[in-house]
Amino acid sequence: MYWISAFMIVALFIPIIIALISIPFLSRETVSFGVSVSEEMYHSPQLRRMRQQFAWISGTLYALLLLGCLYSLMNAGEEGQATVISIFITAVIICSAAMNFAFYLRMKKTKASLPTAAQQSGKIAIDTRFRSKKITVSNRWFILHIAVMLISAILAITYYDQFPETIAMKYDWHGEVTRSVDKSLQAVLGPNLMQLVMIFLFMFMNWMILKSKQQIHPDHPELSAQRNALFRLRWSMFNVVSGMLITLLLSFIQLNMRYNLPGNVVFPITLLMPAIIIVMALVLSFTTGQGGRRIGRPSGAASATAVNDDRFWKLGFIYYNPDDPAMFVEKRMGIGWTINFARPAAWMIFAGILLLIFAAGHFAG
Amino acid sequence: MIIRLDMQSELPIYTQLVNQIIEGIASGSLQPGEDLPSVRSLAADIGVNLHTINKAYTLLKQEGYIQIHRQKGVVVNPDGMPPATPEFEQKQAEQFRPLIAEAICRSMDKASLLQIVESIYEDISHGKKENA
Repeated sequence: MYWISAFMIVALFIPIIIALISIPFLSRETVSFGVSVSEEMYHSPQLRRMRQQFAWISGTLYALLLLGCLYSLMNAGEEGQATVISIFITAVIICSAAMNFAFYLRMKKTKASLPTAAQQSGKIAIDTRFRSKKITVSNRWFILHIAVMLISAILAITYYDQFPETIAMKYDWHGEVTRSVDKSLQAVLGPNLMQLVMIFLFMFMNWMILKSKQQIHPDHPELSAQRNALFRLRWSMFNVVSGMLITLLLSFIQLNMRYNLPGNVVFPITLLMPAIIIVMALVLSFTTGQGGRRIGRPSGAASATAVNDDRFWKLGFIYYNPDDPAMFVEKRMGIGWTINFARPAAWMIFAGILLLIFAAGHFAG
Repeated sequence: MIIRLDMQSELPIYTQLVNQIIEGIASGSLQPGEDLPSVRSLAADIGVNLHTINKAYTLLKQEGYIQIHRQKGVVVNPDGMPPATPEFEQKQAEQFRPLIAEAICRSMDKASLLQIVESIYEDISHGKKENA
């Protein structure tokens, strides 16, 4: 059984580690380790070396952590395994944060020493037709997800008698039940509640992709706007597909409550779904890049324009700009969007979502 | 159309916006009846206060270049552009006057001044032929 859990860990974490290592290669060509630069600077040998260093150091770190984790798993008892994995996950998160922060500080110093850093420009470009392009898929797609949820809930209520008296809530790596509760409507419908929350979250993310700030390069605005629209559309589609996979997974978990399927069926499926989502995200990250920089052919001559907005990016990743009415903007590190922390509404949305996840988790056990 | 703004320029953002939109209409990259972004989304995309956009749109509306509807939003005036009225010509003459005075001070002759006007005129309306 050790080999199965070891294999699962490797299969799940290798894509995540690859994504963490490639963060600086996926960011926009106008951002290097959370510091704004020109495309010319981004492609300079000096910054290229820095990115390679980042990849080597973090790659080695994560490889060591992974080996350490596998070794401890081998020696840990049945109960120890979960602890080992949570320690490993925490260590990876801390390492990633520390690496990004260290390189952010180094990049700030490097930028200050570059003579070209003085050429800051305040030029921006806006495409008036950007919002009439197809930048996301409609939220109506989530009707499918809601239908799956409703059908599962109706089936669960109709066949309530067929659920066993105690319902398994948690399993260990061997497929043994570690926690179970007495049968109740709340326990049986728990997965449907989670589905509802997840569907809401995915719809929210789709809306965020639609509403987030238009950020196009002033030196090649048409190309940049076209790439950005495609970038948003692809991630919006990913959002709908991964939302469906999670909805189906939760329905499957509910079915499993009823039929107590054998571990060798349940286990691979519950791990396969997240694995598919992670691999899809990885492939999409590499093919789009942040803001769509990797879509299509390279834009030709690297532009020397650098917009200086570093003062709004606290520690390189927290956007705080009271003068910007935009609630959602592109992240500086990695791929995706973040909120403008200077907007109270953005804070409230952020807090509301955390509260919702917490409440649903608590309620569904 | 692509609107280009310089956030570090001395020219206020709303003036740049007005100038860019009028030039967009003149060159044909904005067509009559075409939608313009809403105040809110344009403010968020540029990263400026809503008042800045409101000010630009109000000025453009007063001059008759755009229409602002409650439901349809902001559109380039579909009923055609305002004519060159005597008031407009007077305002234009006032705007030209200091420019020409400065040119005379710097001993620019009339021909080269007219040539500049002509080349800018060609430049903007050349875009019109391309966009048509």
